[in-house]
Amino acid sequence: MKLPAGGPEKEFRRKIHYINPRFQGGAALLVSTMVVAGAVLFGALVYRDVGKALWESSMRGHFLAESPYEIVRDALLWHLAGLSVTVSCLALIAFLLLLNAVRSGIGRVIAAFRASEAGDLSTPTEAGGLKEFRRFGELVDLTRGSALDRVRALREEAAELASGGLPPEPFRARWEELKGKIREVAP
Amino acid sequence: MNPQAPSPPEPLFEHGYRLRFVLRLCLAFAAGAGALYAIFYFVLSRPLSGDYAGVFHALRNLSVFLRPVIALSVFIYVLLVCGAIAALCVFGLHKIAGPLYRMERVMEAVREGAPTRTVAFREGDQIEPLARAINGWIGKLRQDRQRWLAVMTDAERFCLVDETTCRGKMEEALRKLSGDMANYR
Repeated sequence: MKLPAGGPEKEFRRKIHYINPRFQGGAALLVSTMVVAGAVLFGALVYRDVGKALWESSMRGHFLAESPYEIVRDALLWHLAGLSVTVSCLALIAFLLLLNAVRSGIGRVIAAFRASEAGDLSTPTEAGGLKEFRRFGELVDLTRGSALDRVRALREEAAELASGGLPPEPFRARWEELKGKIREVAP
Repeated sequence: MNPQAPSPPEPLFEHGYRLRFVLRLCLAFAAGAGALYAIFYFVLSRPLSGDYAGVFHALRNLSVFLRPVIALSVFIYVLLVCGAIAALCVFGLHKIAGPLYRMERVMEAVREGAPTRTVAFREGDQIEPLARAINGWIGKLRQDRQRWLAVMTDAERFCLVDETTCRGKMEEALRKLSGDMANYR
């Protein structure tokens, strides 16, 4: 089998990711659970009421209706309306809760980045809300921590060089090396 | 105006985005309810004909077959609506998940010290304030980097004068850098 050009250690990556299973999948699962619960309840209620209406009508003896639909129409329409309204309201509440969780998680991350602009790279983000945002917050902390390590290493190097004592040649070499390392900060 | 008053938080989601999502959700439920109604109408609208016994048995039979009819129609409803919800969550919430993914890539590049571009947005993408915050932080790092390099380049100019002055200026620049970098904690 032909290996990808980047070598076997390079992870294959799609350019566009449409699905984030934790976020989109979780939301779809939550709303779908509500739909399934609503549909099962609807089925049970329709079975009870429509069955009862048909049974009672057959026992009455005077068949005024032209089709069974006329007998069960009211019960059926009420249950359909109830199903639609219940499921819509539950889904709306779930969607608003989801947006609220996104807002809460992202809000903490934004605050962490604003603090980073002021130089605070060590205070944890502690993004709450959904699991996906907690994971994203951990990634942000990892990135900030990595930037802080880099800057600390540069600082130590600069302080060591500034303390003097190095002959001109090694000093110059380390000076150039330090410049190179500084260029790697957010290139 | 009080200059120290905090600016109001920027909205993470467009008003239209929320409204569109909710409307599509309701539309999916309405379509599902329509399909359910159509199935029941199709099953129950056959006319009751014949004599008393015929109608009596037709109604009795119908109430016996009601359970599989309801189970099938509910199953179709669940399939239709859940399919629509899955599509809606994939394509609607992608406006949040997509930017998050791109920001993860940018952060990964920052960690690796690879060249990074600012987080770009496509039409309709949400959570723009987060991208602005990331871009702001990376921009600040870049500014600092350029300032540090400028301090070093300034010191190097003194190497044209003489070696001792050059070394003194370089050490002074290094102390300045070290002090400047101490702001990061």
